[in-house]
Amino acid sequence: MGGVLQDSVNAWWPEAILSAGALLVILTTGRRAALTITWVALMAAAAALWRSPVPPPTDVFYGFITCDRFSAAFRWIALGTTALVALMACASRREVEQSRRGEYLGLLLFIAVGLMLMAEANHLLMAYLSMEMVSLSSYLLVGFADQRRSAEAALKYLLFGALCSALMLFGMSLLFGLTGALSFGELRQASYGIAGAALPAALVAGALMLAGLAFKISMVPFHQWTPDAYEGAPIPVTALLSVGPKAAGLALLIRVLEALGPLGERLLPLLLVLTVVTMTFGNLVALVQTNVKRLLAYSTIGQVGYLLIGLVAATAKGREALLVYLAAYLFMNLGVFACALAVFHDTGSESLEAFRGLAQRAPGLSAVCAIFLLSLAGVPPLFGFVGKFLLFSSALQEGWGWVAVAAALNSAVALYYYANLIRLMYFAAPLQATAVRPAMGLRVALAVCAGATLVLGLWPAGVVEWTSRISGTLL
Amino acid sequence: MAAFVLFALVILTGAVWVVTLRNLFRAALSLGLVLFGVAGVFLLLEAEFLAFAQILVYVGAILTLLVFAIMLTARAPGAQPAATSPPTKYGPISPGTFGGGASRQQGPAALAAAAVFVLLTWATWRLPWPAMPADHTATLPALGQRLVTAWVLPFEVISLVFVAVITGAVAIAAPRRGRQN
Repeated sequence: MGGVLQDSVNAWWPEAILSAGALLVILTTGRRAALTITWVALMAAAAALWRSPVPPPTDVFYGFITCDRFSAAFRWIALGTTALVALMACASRREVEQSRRGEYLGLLLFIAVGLMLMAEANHLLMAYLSMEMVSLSSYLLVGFADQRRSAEAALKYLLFGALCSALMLFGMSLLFGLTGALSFGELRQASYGIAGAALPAALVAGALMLAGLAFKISMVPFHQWTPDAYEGAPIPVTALLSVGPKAAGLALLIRVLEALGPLGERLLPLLLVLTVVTMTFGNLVALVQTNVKRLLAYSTIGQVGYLLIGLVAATAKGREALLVYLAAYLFMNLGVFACALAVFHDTGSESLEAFRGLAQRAPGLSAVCAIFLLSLAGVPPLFGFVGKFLLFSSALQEGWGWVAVAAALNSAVALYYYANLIRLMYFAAPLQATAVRPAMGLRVALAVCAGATLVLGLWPAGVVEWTSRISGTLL
Repeated sequence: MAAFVLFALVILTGAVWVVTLRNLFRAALSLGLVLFGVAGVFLLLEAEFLAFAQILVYVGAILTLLVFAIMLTARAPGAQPAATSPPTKYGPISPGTFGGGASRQQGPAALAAAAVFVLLTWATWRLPWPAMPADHTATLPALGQRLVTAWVLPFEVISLVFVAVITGAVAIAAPRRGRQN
């Protein structure tokens, strides 16, 4: 027994370090101490993750979680997202009051732990707990801005989230009643035995469970909270919500679909239709937005639609494409949010108009912003193009020509609103003449994101090989 | 069977009251009725520990907290939000906070809830549920032992979630300088 626990803790150091860091940060009051602890915890977690054995010699924590290569990839994504968001959070002093900075950074680290757990979950209880850990901390962080709007957004997010959690729990309880299994492995075995009168009930249970996950990745029809929560939250939190829970939610969705076995395969047509609806809805509504956070909220819904193609394809190729695009999405989307944060710091405005003539006021910032937007639109030779190309070709490989066509049409629509922002930056007259000076933390975040988007776009071979090794091990 | 019908009626009546009563204080007390009913169902299922935990934690602690919150936030205990007052966009949180109060959204909400109910009934009607093995009764010492061995990870993660939620909630609710409104 001692051996299992020891091996488990050895595989689980990154999360343990982040949790300890979060508990310590909450206790601090000074800005310097909070930042130091946050960064020490993040660095130590990265080192521990680098050194952690993959796969570990025994079942981790008696099979409640699994630390295979697949979850390792998502743990890196969660850690990278948190580090970049922490850079943004350090740079933005205006949005969150000084006295609450400790709790702010602490909740950020708790979300990182939750995201990692979501990617590792191998048991219905752990799936639910990790999702609640991310959700509850997110509701709170959305309410952290010093505005009435922020509190309203947090409340809406909470109510919608509580409903979706309840639906998911109901689905889980039905599934447990039908199969008597809680861990994903047992569930998969039991799912092959479900037939006859139990089949409709199991399908309803599966669909209800998907509702909770669809809420996390803001898939239509569980997307309604997205624009409001994004608009009300402090910008670094919005950036975190747009990447972290989406990646971890997709990872958990892949595992849950796998655990549902033949039931999951029966639910795939429904998911495929929702995929196309999600991307089309997100991109069309994004066209008419005037607030940059709302625009990016609908753009996120559109991007989740693209990502879902790789998930629904349910092949090694599709998962590989999903992972590559997630890596690209992490850098380009966080980059755009860093740009929005720099503009917000300078002008105090979140409207698209604030980007007017940015090229004359901050040539460097506009250039990287244009890179991120073009990458999101899928323009070669940027990293976003590589991921999108792989995703679309995985749809074609499955023989879903119409999905690929719909996705291509969506990309054209998306290019319009991304290019519109670039037009505002380069071809519109600026409202003021002063130069924009982003804070140091933001510059680092922007440089990392822009570098990754450019370099990995030009030389994607390494990433693609890495992801193909991971997706090959899962099936 | 008779006991189950009784508890089910208690739960359903309480649940309907929770969503229909305009008085928040009475709605909270109706929630207590629901929680008692659920504890009764647990007793019927021979899950005594769960039933007592349900009463201790939910009725004893959470409901009390809820009642306190309502009494402290409302101007007077049992204050009724005026049904005729126009909804204010950023007004205090009352049943009318979200666009026009209950009247406009009650219809669609009831319809959606009824649809879920019909779907679930259709799916689970006359379903042969596999029976649990008879030796599945858990004693308290065994339960405690498993919580710190096999189930240690969920146990610890739950405590992390609680810490995160409590500190975050205090940070949000604490008075701050320069707060608007």
